[in-house]
Amino acid sequence: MLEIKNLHAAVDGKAILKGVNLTINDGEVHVLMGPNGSGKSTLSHVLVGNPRYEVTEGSITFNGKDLLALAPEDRAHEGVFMSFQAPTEIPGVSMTNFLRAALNAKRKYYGQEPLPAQEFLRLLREKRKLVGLDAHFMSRGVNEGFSGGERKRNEIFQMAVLEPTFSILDETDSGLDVDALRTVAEGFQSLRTPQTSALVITHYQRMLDYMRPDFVHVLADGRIVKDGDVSLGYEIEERGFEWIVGQ
Amino acid sequence: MDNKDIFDIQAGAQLTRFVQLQGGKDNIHITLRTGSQLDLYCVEAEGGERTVLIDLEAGARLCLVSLTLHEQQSHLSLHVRLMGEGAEASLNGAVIGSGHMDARQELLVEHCVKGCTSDMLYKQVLGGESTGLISGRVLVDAGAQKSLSEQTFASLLTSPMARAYAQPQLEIYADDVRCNHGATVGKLDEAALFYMRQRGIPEPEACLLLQHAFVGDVLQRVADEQHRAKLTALVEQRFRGQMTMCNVCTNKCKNEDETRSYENENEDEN
Repeated sequence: MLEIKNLHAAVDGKAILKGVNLTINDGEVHVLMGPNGSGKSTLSHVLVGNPRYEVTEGSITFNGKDLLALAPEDRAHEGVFMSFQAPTEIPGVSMTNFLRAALNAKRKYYGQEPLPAQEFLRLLREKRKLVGLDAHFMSRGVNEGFSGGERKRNEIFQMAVLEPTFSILDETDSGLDVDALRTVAEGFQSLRTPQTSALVITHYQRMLDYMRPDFVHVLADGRIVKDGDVSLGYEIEERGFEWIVGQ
Repeated sequence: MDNKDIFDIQAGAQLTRFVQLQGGKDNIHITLRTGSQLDLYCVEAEGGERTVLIDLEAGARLCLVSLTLHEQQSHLSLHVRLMGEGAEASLNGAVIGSGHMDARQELLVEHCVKGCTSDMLYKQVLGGESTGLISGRVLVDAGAQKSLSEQTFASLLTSPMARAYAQPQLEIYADDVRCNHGATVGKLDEAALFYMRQRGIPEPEACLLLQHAFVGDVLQRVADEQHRAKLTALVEQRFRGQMTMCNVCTNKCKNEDETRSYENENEDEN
């Protein structure tokens, strides 16, 4: 599904990623861990095409397509979704209008007619239940006045509506209490299929428990320096990163 | 001298009016008699010179919402006089500029007596090589104690060649008043734009949604739901570059039935 080769990227002229190689196959969940400033969020923003980040070398292939050649919106249509670490507030654009625009843009990309209003509202209702998001959020501005936890629930709710095939969860667990994390994680798990895959960025063991990843990678100074299975994640929780980064 | 259109709203009357301002010169004088109420929704679909004087007697209430949607030159001079105790004026406007539009609005609200309220909310979205100027002045006379006044001017520039001028001013001769004013000028929020694109909303559509949201609180000042829907649709058509004169025209032609029925909706005239 996703193949990252020798990826180098910079922000404001400063090199952050210095040769990332990573392959994620259909149905797999990969966890990315690493010290602060190692480039985890940069990698996720590069994957979704944030124009602030400049790719200086390397390639990303997604389902056979050159992902770097696609505009952010086309990457979304191709099935790439990011749950933002700090979801943006968009006052005045209601959640309903926002999601209608997003969903219909995707349908247009695939030559489909816009979803009829009743069907669209039924879809929102059904997906809201997955993450326990109340109906009144739909008429509010996107993330406007949402608490930290509500914003993260809202990210997974959007994921449920847009049905991506590859999701990046950038510290979705931060700012969530134990109950909210369980709801969000269960919501995520219910959306998994043999065709969907995910890259999960986290610092915490409890996220490993919920995500049940197939692989764990450690990113340090812009490169993946260690790969393993879930036991690597638990070892990091216990021993920190120094024993890996110092190698 | 130009002809002056004079309107007298009788004491206690309640009116909702939609007005389309065409090109040329307008000189209008409206008086709201004691306890009357006027909701006035104006669309400037063509450039022109407008001079408007509105007097409010005691307890009268005015809500003005104006949309400037043309691509020409316009100049509005609006003078509102709060002449009776308890009069309230809410003045609101949205300017959507593109091409070489040059829209200048000079607003003067005079608190002549005590206990009156005024509120100005003006927003501009300026693209192309357009220019928008909003100059607002609240003048509180010496006897106009307990005056309440707000001025909020916000401008969004969507092109490097667009120009916004905002000048909120206060001139106060009374000492027991509460008057606030503020002005902001900015560009589209890039983080919001990227967030929307990540969800698959194409950049032009995302820009449109953000611009529409920016003027949304001006449209919210339209109390009547059907008028609000109509004005909201006009704003959207303007942003999409789909607005034609027929969208706002109230002249008798092929769209007569539609426009006339709209014009007469929701009136509660005594």
